[in-house]
Amino acid sequence: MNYISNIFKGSAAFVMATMLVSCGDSFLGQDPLSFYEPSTTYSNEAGLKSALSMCDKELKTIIMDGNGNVIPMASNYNMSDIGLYAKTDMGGGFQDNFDAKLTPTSGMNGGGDANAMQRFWDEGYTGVKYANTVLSYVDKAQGLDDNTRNIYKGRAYFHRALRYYYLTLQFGDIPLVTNIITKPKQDYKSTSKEAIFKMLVNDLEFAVKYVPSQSAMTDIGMVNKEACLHLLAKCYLVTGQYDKAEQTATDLISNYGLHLMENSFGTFVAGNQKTWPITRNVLWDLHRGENVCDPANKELIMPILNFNDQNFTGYSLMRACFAHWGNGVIKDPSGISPAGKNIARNNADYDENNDWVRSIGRGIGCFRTSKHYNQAIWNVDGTPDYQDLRHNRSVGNWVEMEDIRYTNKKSPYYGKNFQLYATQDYVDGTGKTIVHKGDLLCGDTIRSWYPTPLYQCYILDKTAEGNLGANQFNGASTGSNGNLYLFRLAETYLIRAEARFYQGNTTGAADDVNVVRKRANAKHMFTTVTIGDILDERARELYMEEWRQPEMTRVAWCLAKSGKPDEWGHTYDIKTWDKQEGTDRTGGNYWYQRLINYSLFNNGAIQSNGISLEYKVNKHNIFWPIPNSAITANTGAALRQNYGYDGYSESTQMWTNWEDAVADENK
Amino acid sequence: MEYVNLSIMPRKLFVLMAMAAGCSLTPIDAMALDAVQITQQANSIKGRILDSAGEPIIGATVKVKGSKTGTVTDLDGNFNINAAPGAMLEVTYIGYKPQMVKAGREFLNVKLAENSETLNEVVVVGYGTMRKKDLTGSVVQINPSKIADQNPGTVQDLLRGTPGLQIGYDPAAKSSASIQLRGQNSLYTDGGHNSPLLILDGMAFYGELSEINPDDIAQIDVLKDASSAAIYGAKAASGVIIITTKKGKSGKPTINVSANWAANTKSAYREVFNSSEYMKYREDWYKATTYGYDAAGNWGYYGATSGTPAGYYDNVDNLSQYGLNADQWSKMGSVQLQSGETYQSLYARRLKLNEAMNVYNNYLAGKTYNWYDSTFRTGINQDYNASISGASDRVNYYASFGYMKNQGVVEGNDYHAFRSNMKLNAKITDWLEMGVNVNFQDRSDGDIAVSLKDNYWENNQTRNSPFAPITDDNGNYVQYPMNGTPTNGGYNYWFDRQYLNLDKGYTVLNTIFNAKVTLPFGIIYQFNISPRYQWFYNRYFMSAELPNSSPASRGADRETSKDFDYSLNNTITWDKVFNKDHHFTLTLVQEAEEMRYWDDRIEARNITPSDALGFHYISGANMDQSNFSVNDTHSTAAAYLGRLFYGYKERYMVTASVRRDGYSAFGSNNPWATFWSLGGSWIFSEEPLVKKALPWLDMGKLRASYGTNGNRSLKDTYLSLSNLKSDGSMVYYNNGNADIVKTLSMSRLGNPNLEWEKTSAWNVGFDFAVLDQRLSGSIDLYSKKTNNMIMEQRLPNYTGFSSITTNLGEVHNSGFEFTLNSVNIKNKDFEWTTSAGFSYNKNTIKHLYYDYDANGVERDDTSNSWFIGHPVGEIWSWETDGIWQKSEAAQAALVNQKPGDPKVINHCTDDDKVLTDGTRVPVYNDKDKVFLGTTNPPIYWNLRNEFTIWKDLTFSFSLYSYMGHKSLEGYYLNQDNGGSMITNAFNVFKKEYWTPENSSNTYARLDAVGPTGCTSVQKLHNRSFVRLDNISIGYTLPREWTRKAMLERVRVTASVNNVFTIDSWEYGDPETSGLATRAFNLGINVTL
Repeated sequence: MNYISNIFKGSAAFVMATMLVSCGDSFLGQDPLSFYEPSTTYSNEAGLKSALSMCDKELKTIIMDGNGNVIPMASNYNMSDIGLYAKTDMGGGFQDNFDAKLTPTSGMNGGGDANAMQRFWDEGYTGVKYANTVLSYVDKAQGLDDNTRNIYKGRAYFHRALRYYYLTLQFGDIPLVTNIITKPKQDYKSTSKEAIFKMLVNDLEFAVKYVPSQSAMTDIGMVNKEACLHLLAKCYLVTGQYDKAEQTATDLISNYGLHLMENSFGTFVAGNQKTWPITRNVLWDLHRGENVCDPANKELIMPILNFNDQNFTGYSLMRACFAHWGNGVIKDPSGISPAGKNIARNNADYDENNDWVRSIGRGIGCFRTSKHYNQAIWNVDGTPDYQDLRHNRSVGNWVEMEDIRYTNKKSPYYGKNFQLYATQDYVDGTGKTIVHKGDLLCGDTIRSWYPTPLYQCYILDKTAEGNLGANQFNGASTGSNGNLYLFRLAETYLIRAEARFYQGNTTGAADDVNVVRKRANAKHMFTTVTIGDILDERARELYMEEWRQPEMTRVAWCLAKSGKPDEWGHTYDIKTWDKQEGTDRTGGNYWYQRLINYSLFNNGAIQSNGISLEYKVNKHNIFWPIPNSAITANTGAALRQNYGYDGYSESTQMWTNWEDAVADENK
Repeated sequence: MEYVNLSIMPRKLFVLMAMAAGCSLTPIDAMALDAVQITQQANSIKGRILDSAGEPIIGATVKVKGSKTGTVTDLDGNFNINAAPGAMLEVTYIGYKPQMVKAGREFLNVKLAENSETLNEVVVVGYGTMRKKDLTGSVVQINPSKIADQNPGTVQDLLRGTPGLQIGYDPAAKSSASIQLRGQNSLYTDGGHNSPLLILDGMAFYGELSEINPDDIAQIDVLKDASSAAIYGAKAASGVIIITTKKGKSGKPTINVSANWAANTKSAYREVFNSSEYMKYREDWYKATTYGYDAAGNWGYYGATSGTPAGYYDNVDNLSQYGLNADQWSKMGSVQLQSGETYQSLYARRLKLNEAMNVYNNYLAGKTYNWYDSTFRTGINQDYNASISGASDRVNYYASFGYMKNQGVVEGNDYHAFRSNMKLNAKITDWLEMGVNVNFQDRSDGDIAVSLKDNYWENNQTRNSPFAPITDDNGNYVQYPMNGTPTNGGYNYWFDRQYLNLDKGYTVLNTIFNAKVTLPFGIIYQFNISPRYQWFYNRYFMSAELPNSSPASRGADRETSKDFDYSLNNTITWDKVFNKDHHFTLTLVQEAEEMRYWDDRIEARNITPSDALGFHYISGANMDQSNFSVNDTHSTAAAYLGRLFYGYKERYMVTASVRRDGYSAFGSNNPWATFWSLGGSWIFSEEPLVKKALPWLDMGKLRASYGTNGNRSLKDTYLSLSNLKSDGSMVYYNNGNADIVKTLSMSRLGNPNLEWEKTSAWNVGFDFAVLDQRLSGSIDLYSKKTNNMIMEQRLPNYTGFSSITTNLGEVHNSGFEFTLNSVNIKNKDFEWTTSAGFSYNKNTIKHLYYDYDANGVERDDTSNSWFIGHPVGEIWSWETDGIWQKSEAAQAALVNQKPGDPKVINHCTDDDKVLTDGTRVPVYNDKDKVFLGTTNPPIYWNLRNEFTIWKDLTFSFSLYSYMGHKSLEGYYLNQDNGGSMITNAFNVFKKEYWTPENSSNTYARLDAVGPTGCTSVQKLHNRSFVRLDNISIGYTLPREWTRKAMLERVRVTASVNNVFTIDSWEYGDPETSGLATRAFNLGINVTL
């Protein structure tokens, strides 16, 4: 009996164990613990706000990747009239011959020492996703009134428009994505750049209607109406609505309490004042990260924020852009090299009166300026205008190589100014002539000899400043205030100048250019301007602030569309401006003409430091290639490659109406 | 009389149970019982059954031939049977050859010989065991004792050499090699997706193999075909490895102690240049920047357009070829002799040694340091184990403790583990048996070793110049050996090591409890539960005292995580033989699992006022710069299954199983799936006709099976859900203050329809033994199809998502395996056995996204290198074709290349650019890419030879080989100046390269580039290799000696691992692509 009862007990245990884990589907239910699900999280305003803040945050990560020698931003200058790639020890990765090196399958990188062109594709569309996240969920969120909903939409439209503005000007005809996909889609067709810009105008017109003006907002750094107006004005230019562009710019200039800063303001921040003293002036103060969001700054339209440890990205602007003055290729007139040294404060050789690395940064010359930028555009009647605050050496805003002083303690020229050529023979103690008069004292003038617009690019490197052993002052580092301008009123004037120019009002355009010049205390005032003058003024005013190549592409496009001539009298056909190939001197588009006329491009090989370089672009390089990876991932349809690149075909279909592209997405 | 009978009954039952405790109730036992009817007769014969070692055999069946009389031996191997003297007794026991003995009047001592015919071995088949004879699937049994002389440090070492199993190779101190069975099933690779399921003592084991001490393993069974594995359904698509640990043997307690030591040396890795080679390389590097045509139109160094005077970079001793004297040489070009400077210094400056002042100064002073020697060492491995085991009437126990401390060949690469195992089985009553198995491990995880990473931004001290000093004049380590400054200053592990501390590891408790109830009618009920607890701790300290570091990024990491998983099952087994010939075994199982994980991580940074307390104090951290995060997960699984075995006349066998599996990760829509299998086998050698016709055939068996399996191994159990993850903060200004908003962004596109991946497979096998068991082996043919693969379907990244996890595609694996064991020579003093295995696997992608072009051809996924009709790992690339030579400079220039650059075959000429003068310029794009082979070896073979001399001395060697695979490599381009490494005077790996004087058609010039369109084109290499994996010698000291010292058995062993390889790969070891080690082992094993 005992046996039987035990069997009973055993069976009971079995039944209980079975029931314990009775495996209905509830036992297998999913149980997400440490992450949110979109449908529940984006259902209220707090969720939407966290999504929208990603858009704001990404404004900086498009142009900064936190490391690397070559900042991503520089990729917008490598193929411009005012900049050149300069990292001469890059071997096969040297960015000179874009004609040969830039193809859909190679030449574009996500970052690193060569370029970050692919990054602009990737980050551009990431930004589109962030904006689309808001737009896909905003109508599902609960507890928002219509007005609040529209503000979210408007801000998201702004962010999406900004990403597409650059994507289109960099990559031409591209796929248009306007929502978060709910199932895999791999049959995108490209949408024409014209059609995309029509959508941007449409979206931004909505945005300016609902997004509040900064005066009605508490937070600085969120999208405001002013930024929407500014971008809308640019988009009106592209779509040929010059009158609307002018009106919009005028509205922004007149009605929102903004004005150009005329006087010094905010906090004074500078490097070693004993070595390179800065005389406080409005342009110096205007460009300090500490002052970008100062309440007194009425020139700010919208900032790129990078000031807080909780959201900080390193930005080695000084390292990437400034001349590589502290290396062995520069020798002093007695033949000693390196003639310039980065000396840390805890070094026995430290001299606070000759502390250049803290004053002008530890440049490594990855990216340099062209002669057009650093000389030609400042010349008035053949002499450099040093009165212009943007080119002013005496206040310290601008540093020529000859302003730097030798810092090698072994040098008899210690503390004397750099010179490019020896002015006399140098004979050593044994009577041997070491340096002859006229000798070139810099072995690599590409990388190590060019002036520096310090006022635009100086950033107090807080991490290095806090470390007495630091001999590298690179730019924004943890603790620094690395705020930058996204949009600034000075550019609004220059946009209006363009709008007036395309309408034939060259004197009105000159007035707008002069507003900017006057504030900078420039010598010369225009009575009438060419499109070249406007682009030159943009170069003077917006160095490392505007995205130079895309903006040049926009101007080339507008110029072809308006039919107006450039400064040489050439006109461009809107049908062919983006469909030409070749590296010859004629034709192409306005972007191409500026590159070959104002910079080193397509002038044959040059020698620097024993290395042969050939800066070369093709007319078709005005647009970068659609990355091959994007084409191959889109297996169900062909994306259109840009003209001149391997894979281009006129017969590849694309949407020429943005509504059709959107309808295709939702089908 | 009845009384006696009754007293025997329980005893016999117990013996049976004791056996069943380890291997469950096997059919033969049941039959043996049935067949034996005990009747008391007048004459009783007493005797004892022993094995070859003289140990008693418990539970052996003793039968009087031709009658129904029989009995079973007791715990001491004794039996007492009613038989008349002169009767023939038949003694049988599993694993031993049956023996006939004539009963006499005296006490009978019978020694059973072990059966080399392994067919009767008991094989663990999942939720039960079977005789190997009855198997219908493909199962391989591994007996670890066979390679005990090698002192296998890991379970992987035991598995290596099994046909069909591909075991990787890991040179690190811990040595955690990968395992794959019969090819890569799926294109999904995260979460150990293509690794076999591990079963430890009957329960699914989710730990890592290092937790199991190879010394504790009694037997490993590998289920290779779908039908055997189907019983594990959901997790068994990549096969099942079943590990059974040792248990106690009855008799006196056995104590076993072993100690092993090994010297671990580097056997393969790329060398770096020594000081003179380094200078020569630098000279060549800078000369290579001057390539061009000279005034006479010849191509070479110092081309006219380089602007560099001929001889400029050459050493002053080497000027005659340029017609220069030292004075002329010193005054030409951009860097010229300075006041009071030596020629040597000028030479150094022209080669930019002065970019790194320490290097420059030491070069002039002639001081060198060997950074390579400072990186590698001879590591000492230690492995100590002790176990005690035994069994009494009702209790069987085994307990062990092991300590392992390994040093890798790279400085700082250390690993240690404590492992213990306690196993207890007790028979409580006649019908109830309970067992417990506790596995404990404490192991280190990770270390602070010298890094061998070779991206330019990574720290790697082997790249320091041979002139860079490790210490200053005072003997203190130098932080920046190259130039003394933080930028491009080089890296000194020994300096940085002073500011780092790590305490990281796992503590694991894996437990198994089981209860077994014997019910009437031959039914056995079992309940098993295996709770597993794993605790992970990570304490890492980076001192902010490190000079030139930023306190904001230095401090302490404190992380702990805990896993708590359990799986439980209820199993009913019913085993019955009808009419002698019809044998049924039915198994029914219900199973449930729950996995939970909690992880807490703190990254404390900038600890003030001082970080002197290391990772023990974090309260002083700067909160803005610090971080904390958690990650918890929870998943569940359930299953129901049934299996029926039917055997007829012990010749015809059929196994069928069905299993229904559920797993929480598979969406809200498809958590359940059903898997089934069918297998049959025929022992044709038992057919009377065959027996007659083929007397030399000891055994012949044909097997065929088909089955389906699932796969649920995923990177993340929440893969089917969209997520919103924290992307840090966005900080706005609000009236001048920071307004912090926590951001969220979607990084994963959910897929509620995600479901089980399915693999179906058939297997046909043939097992044989001939010539009196001297030659035996098996052949298996298989074909597997995996569809509904868990796949990261690539999406165009402009959608914002680069992929979505979905069920797509189809991959086939088919192949064959061949095993052969032979006893070549066997006599009293010498035995030579050989075992060989060969396997071939053909992997083919059949479908990917079911996405067809206009011609109805399914599209490839070029970005992942997945091509329809080709294997996973197919290489699709441009094909190099030697090197441009000097005479071809003009042709090379067309595609922006120079002599010394690699030529690339222009497979597609339709898209060539035709210049106005008619010259065709090749355009390189995807159209020029061709299929070049696969990176996964299709062929594996191994060979092992063992020699036993005078029974006590054994010698063995084994080798294995992977063949038929290839790889690409870009080293030959010598693009060494990434990150300005050359400019800053760093050293590089020793290499050959093309120069104008020493041209080559294999190696490219320094800083070579491919043609436009494929500037970094890689070169193809054959990666086939043969490795002499092990040579060992073992010797058991004569017992007459050891017994005097009260020792049962003392064995000493010596072996060498990784003796050599035969291969054509020149960049290190052919299997790892880089580092490999060779170990010299010594061991001693003592049994008390």
